[in-house]
Amino acid sequence: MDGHIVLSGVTKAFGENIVVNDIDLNIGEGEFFSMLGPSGCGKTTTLRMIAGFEVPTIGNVTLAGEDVTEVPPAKRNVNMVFQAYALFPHMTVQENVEFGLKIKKVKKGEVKSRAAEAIASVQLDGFELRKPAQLSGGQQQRVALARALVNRPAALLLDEPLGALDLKLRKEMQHELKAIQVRTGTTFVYVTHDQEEALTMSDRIAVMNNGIVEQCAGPREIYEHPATAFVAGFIGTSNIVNMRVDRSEGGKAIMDLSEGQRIVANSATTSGSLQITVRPEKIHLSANGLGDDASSVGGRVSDVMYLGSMTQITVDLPNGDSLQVHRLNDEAAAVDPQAGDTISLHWAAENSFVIEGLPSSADGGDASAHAASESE
Amino acid sequence: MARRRNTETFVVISPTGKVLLTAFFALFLVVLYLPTVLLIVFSFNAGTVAAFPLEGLTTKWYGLALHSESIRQALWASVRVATLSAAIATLIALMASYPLARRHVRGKAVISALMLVPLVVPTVVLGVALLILFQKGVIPIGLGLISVMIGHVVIALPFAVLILLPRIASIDKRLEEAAYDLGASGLQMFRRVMLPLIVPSILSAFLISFVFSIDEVVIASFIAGDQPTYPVYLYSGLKFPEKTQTLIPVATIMIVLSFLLAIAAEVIRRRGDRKLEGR
Repeated sequence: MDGHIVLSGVTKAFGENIVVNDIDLNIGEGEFFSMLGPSGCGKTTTLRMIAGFEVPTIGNVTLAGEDVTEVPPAKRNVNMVFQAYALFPHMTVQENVEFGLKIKKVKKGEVKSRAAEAIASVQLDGFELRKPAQLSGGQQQRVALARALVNRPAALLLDEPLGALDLKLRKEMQHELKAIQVRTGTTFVYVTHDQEEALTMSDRIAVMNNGIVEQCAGPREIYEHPATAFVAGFIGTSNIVNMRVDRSEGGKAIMDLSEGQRIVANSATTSGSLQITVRPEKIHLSANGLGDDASSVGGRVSDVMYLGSMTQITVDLPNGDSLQVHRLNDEAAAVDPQAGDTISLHWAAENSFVIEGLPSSADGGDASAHAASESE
Repeated sequence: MARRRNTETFVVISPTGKVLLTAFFALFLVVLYLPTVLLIVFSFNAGTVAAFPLEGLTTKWYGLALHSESIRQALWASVRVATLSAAIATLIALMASYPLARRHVRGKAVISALMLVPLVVPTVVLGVALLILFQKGVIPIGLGLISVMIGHVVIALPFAVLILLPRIASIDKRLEEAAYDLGASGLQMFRRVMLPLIVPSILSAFLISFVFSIDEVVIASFIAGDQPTYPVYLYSGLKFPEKTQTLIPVATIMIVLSFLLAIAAEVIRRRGDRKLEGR
């Protein structure tokens, strides 16, 4: 029993349509675990298999060491926060929160005290007698959380819980969710298509696409060392460069370009070709402070976009790839280049990440092509 | 000061058009309700002929009607038939609507269509069919109030389904899942979550079915046998002109009753809509 929730070899097919394809997940106790991916990638179906609303076609689901693959939702010690909350419209906040406890025949006094505690923990004191329709989206969200947490579930399953909120509220709720998770020590399994949400809150993220897990790792690892072209493309803005390996030097693969320019990546490969990704903020317009082994390429600026805190510069390279460069608009920033300018770009060798185990034709993932009917 | 535009309606109607439309609507109301209003007026007529001018106002016909044993028996028969048939029709509609709205049922479209068929079958045809069925056919229960009751279940069922099915279908499936997720059994989910949300529609379906039964005359006259319902009694009484004046109050009571019940059904249904509003 090394993990709290374990999915082993789980496949879910609806008729001929394989939505989840032989995935293995091991979610630790007290972990904030996110499943991230485009719609139709199988993340919601996976969550519903943990909740018990779907039974895997193949494979097993284990909760705290106990096989629950075919156990109905009512008999599992996990609770779900639904998309659009699914609050009972005819019940007050109080009645919604007490529902699970009353069903479980918890003693009256305890029902009252636990409900009050849960309502207080989501800062809804004073709203006990309101109906859901009399609450704002953010407040409804909190009721849904309280209704689930009051049962003290071993794990809380959240299906895009912030999807219906506006941007500002969403950011606030992100902090709050994380705080609640840390405070209660409850395992959170969080489904989202919003990479920023996943990055800010999660201990670990499983990036899913077409029913498989592309990469499962911590946020920093996912962002800085994307395992596949899909992950690189889905998380943040990413540049993918097709690189020909001309020679190898001190454990680094090098592609020589004209005028002493070159692309360098940390790879033992000595020939053939590589795909590498470079994050836009890792690329600089000057070589200052970079070592001798830095990559250095020239290109023509095709687009300059002012984004507030930074400027995004798109540069076309001679080989046909184009790179996006993020330049922070701090005081020290010099004047931005203009479209049509020829500039050179530099980045440290360790910021060239080699995408492994991919056919050379991979192109950043076709998220929608296999968009299966995930939930509805 | 700049002229304010009336932006309430997109369609601009000329003043003449407005007058014509208002007149048309008034005419529509008159045609729709004049006969009913006349009936109510004549029910208080002191004379024995239903014609103007009135010979004075009286409530004696109401007294006579209510003291007539046969009228009271017919009224009581109708109330019993309507109550029972409405209850059964609503129950069947509820049991049929739930799976149709919720589960993947094979041949869903065909089943729905079959339940709505009585809407388009002429009641005369249905009456004859039921007569054959009950008197000489497969179900020889004979003629009488039970037969009428069954007939009325058949005609009320489509309306009850049309009220219940959309309501159940409009309730977010995730509400049920949330209940199960919180530990509820199927029965607990239905009683605590689904039922409170559809109770208004259940009541509405019951009242509409009740109204259909209580003023249904065609089927009832075929299979009521020697136990006339209220409408059947009323209809047969028209053959005797001397009875007419006592029948008018009877008809009036029926109209008012049906009208109130129909309004009640609609009010309850709307209140239920508000309950669901905004989730």
